[in-house]
Amino acid sequence: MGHQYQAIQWNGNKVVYDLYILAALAVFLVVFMVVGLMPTDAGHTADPVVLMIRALGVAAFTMLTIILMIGPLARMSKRFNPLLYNRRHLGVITFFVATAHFGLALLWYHGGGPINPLVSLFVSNAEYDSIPGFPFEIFGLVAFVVLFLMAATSHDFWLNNLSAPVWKALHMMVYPAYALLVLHIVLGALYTEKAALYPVMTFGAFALVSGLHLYTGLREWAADSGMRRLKKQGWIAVAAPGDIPLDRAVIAPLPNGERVAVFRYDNKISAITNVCRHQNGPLGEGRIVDGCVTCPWHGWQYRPEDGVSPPPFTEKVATYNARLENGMVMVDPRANKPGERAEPILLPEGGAS
Amino acid sequence: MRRAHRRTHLLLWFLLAPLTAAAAIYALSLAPQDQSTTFPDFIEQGE
Repeated sequence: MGHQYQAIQWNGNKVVYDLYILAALAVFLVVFMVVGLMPTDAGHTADPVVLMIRALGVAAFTMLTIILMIGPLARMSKRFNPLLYNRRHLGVITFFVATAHFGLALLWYHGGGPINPLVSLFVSNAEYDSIPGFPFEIFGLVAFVVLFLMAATSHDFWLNNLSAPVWKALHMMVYPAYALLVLHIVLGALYTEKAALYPVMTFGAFALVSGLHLYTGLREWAADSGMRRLKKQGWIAVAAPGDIPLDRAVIAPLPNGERVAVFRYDNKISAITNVCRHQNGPLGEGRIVDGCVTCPWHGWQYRPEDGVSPPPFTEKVATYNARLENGMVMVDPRANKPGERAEPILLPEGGAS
Repeated sequence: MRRAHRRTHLLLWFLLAPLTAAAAIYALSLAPQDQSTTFPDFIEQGE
């Protein structure tokens, strides 16, 4: 958490995860090259450099597709939370793959002439007023710049210094960047590749990503809209204690559009905001670890009674008052100040019924 | 996520998904038809 910054946060699990990613990437590149270098029926053989440029591009697009699927998948099922927890590393590795694709393509296609390769990238094809002739590389370059900004700021130092809203807005630029990559592929590779498989894969990836985001977004919008019909005042019935899984939470929307996470743990029930101080992660989708609510995104922790991070950390989130009424956990929708203790509901020994 | 962020996120995808799909399909419809290549022949065509 916030007491010091580390360039990259690693632990045993993350190292293993990164090694799996690198191994899968290596296998992909090798298979792509071996298959691609097979002579055609006409006896032609692909140029290995051009093939590697294509392999790196396909790998980067595939990795970004997977990254963009992780968020909505994790909202649909907690089974995907481990992927969410490691998403930042996958993103940075994707940036390095994209860098290799960009660098190799720049040197190969623009490095041999008398002008600067970066200048050549913009002027060698000036058909900016034509759709089929448009320099598709520009789409890739803009997307690459976005990936660079995201990778460079994938660090809590930037999150804190840019402020969460600015940082979030910056990182949401990955969606337009992904759309630009689709156009980069359409005007580039798909203009020279006529096999139906390639557009099917490209459009399929985009449809999958956009479909997942729209589905989960609409689902949450429906939940928010339903809550607007609630009374503006009065306590809210969240769930029966037995319906809250042990050491986990039930998330309930509040009339003001925010959400509360109601945790059951150690024969007690406490309610805190669903929004993590770090990156607004969904605390209610995490669990109690070592007596603390643990955010599923990056592991930030808060005590459930007062919303304060355990020492030496100092972060605080808002708590909510809760009480048991007619067998239901009721929550006051007015948040307490961050770090203010709210008396937990004490359950009978050994039972949540 | 906060409500404002959820709304922005949904709106963004509502705009991006159809616009990108339409632009990509339109661009693909304008692709030159005089080339017929299959991987890995694209190298010869590209050069």
